[in-house]
Amino acid sequence: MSLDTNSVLEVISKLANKPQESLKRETELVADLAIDSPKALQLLVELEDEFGIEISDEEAAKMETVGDVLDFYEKT
Amino acid sequence: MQMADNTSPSFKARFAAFAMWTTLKLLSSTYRVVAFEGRKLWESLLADSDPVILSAWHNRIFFFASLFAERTAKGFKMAMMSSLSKDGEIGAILGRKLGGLVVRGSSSRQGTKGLRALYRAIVKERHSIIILPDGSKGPVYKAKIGAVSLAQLTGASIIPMSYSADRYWEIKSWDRLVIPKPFARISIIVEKPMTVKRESNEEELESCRSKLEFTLNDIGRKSKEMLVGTSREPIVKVR
Repeated sequence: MSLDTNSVLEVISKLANKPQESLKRETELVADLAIDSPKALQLLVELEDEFGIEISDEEAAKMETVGDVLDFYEKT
Repeated sequence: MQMADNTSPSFKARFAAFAMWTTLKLLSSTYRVVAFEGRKLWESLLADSDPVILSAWHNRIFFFASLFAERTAKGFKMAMMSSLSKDGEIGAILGRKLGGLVVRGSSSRQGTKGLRALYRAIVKERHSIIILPDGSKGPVYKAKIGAVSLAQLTGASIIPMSYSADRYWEIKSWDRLVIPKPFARISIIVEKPMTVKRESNEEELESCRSKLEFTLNDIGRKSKEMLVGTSREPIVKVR
């Protein structure tokens, strides 16, 4: 697991208040981590601040699972 | 700018917005603001002001719309979110007529996209925003967390606002929309700014949400009390 992957998981884990080890690629952001709109905004802002990469609304809309978020950072 | 809503409104929405705008302008010209707590703060909101988050209950929007228009006419930069419903379409047209930037979204549909647009409006465009925290569908007088989240992430202060009128119609909508009757006496309160620390945890955010809800209810009640015994002479012209 790359350092960036760990950092992404750390951001998600902190926001969802769940241990990092419990996050799987298939973990759903809304259904499993209860990430509602305000929390999703916070997640996107923190990811953008942490990694300096802007996430478009279209890309954000595709992020339904932890794996989708990781895939975005692996691609960029 | 990416955030603005550029969809073409339907004829019905345009007609309804025109009728509401005309009614708003006509009625507003008769209102008499007889008490205004926080007037100095309100009048300090100008083009170069630091962005703030103006927050009022959804049912106070009718009169406040004319107050917001008075600010934008003086260069104050303002953005607002209007829901994706048909009512929201009318709200979007009215919002643009007020001189505001309108983003479409709501707490229930495309909420993240709408909140992000408001976030960008504050951080990148340096617009202040209006949030009606019990919108877009209620329950009435129950604040959702959106305004607090935006304050936390942007550093902008929340300014709670309310008003009361001595004579008004209350519409049978979910928000019990208040429309002051012609020549109503009105008292306004613009409360001191509330800030939310960036490092706030979930519990602290909930406490801020609860404080906002309490404050909006409290200043609603206080503004009603302010009408008692005040002069009939207007102290501010709102058109």
